[in-house]
Amino acid sequence: MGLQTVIDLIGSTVIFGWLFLITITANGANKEDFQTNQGELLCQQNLVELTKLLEYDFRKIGFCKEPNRLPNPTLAILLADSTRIKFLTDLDLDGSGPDGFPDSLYYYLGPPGVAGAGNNPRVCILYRVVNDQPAAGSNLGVTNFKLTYYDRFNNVIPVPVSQANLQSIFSIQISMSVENTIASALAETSPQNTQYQSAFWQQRRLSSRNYQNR
Amino acid sequence: MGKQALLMVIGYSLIFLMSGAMMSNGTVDAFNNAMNYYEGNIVRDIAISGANMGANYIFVNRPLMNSNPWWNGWVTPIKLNGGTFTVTMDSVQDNYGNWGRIRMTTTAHYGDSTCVVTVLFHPSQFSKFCMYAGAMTGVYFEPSDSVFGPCHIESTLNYGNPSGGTMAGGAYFGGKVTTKSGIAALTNPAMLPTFAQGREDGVSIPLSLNTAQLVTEAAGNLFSGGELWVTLKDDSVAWKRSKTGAVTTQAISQIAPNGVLAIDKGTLYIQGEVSTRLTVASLRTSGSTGGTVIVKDNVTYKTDPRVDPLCHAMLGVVGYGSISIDTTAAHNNFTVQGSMYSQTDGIQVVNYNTRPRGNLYVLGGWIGTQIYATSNGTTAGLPVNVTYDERFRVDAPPYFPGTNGYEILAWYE
Repeated sequence: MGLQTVIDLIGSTVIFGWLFLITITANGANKEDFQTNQGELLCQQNLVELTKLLEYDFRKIGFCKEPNRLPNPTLAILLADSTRIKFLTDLDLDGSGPDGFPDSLYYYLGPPGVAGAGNNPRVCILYRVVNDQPAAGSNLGVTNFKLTYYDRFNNVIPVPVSQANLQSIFSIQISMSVENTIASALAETSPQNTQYQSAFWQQRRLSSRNYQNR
Repeated sequence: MGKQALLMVIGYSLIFLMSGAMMSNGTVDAFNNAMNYYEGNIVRDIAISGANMGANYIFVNRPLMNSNPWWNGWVTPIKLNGGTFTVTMDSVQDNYGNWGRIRMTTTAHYGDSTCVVTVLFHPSQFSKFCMYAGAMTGVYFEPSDSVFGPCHIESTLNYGNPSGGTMAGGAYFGGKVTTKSGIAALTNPAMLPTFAQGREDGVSIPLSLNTAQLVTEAAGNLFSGGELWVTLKDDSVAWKRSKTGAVTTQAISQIAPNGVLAIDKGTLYIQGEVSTRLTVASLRTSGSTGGTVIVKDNVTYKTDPRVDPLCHAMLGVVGYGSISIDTTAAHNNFTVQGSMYSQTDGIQVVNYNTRPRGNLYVLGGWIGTQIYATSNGTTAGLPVNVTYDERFRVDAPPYFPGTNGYEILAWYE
């Protein structure tokens, strides 16, 4: 083996090592980006699903297919606080449409750090309770759920809204943040630098048509 | 460049292309997710816009009212904001089998999304008001007054403060208030009323008594001229044609099969307790006399609808002229449960400034052209306490005078 061959071997080894390191680094970065993107996607999908559900329910506050059973929609809100609300509406319970009987619907935010909610300590469960059924809530990464109530003149109503003021509620601002329940790639290499993708949604003034129409 | 180097370049390119595609897929999915939400919002907005346009058409053209033709909606898709919508109309019955309600269905399409908004309308009736006044000539709402229900003043809503009265706050209106000509202070100083559910000026809803319809619904049992003394007894009425006349007792379903008991060009005296739906009316189809109502004693429901959800009794007291709360030696306090409507006058308390002090409790509505004083403010008369019957928001006594318009009962989206 001549000198030239030795130089070729050394050179090719260095170049191979260099390319190999590039590949490893690129793969790591790619993996992290991919996980981050997937985390963001998951986060956004969770937020959209929650948003659709909230908008679907909140727009029906005070609705009843048979109006005689709920003549005054402005009395439909039974409880209003910054992270919980209970109201009357006519739900489609069996898939055949509203049945004409008012149902109560109760949304409330559970405490953070519940068991089974992943490793994100800020995640809470947003519970949805229909009538007197057991509370149901899925872990979609809600970290903030805030309700702000406004009267007809756009004044903020202090929370918790007193019984006397419930009828004054005219519109509701809903703010919600969603984070991933499990940290993305950085947690593997740096547990102190965990990264949770987050998304924020706000409905500035949601007002059900039913409690405006009389 | 050797063959191996070429293969290596191709290999690396493939690896980066694949990873780029994976990253791109994630981004596209996120974009699709956002677009899906956006599309849902757009199609819902189109449906709501279509429903608003349809509702406006109904409010303006009032199908089937005053001989107006029926409206079939917009069955040909209308383009709006990149999508389309259609509006279909159905005539539906109310809970008592009467036609007149309208169900309007708006269907919107945008991209692959569809949204349906269903709105239920019914003919609006004056019983929906807790208080209605055609005019407030010389009278005003003072700080101690409160109205817990919808209120309309077909002129200017006057407010003020009686001489020597306290003014911790103005009059309180718990329901929505509409006026034709705004509000005005009749005293100086005066406290502005509180309008908890807002106030809307420039709204005109003139009284409208459809005498012909009530005559039609009273049918062959319409009394004419003189007096008609009616004592309500559960689901029956005991009636006589004069104070000392012979009493005849009949089931309401027999004497008023359509729910209307009426006298034309005479005076109606009313008292008693009712357990069914009934409108008693004193009309004036012609001439210049008759059409008045005198409440001789308490007029109540058999059970209180505020505590008895099964109470279906609903009473309307309609007069072309005045409705008077008579004096009686038996008691000072009066209770009237039902909606009272006076086309040309108002509700008055006989001898309001000399009769013994008591109270007038009304559960229902107080509707008239004029508002009168019911007490002298200190020692005599009947201060009024009007409580709104919440059922009147969506229901009314049979053939109670209508406002010649529609209103929305339920909005489903």
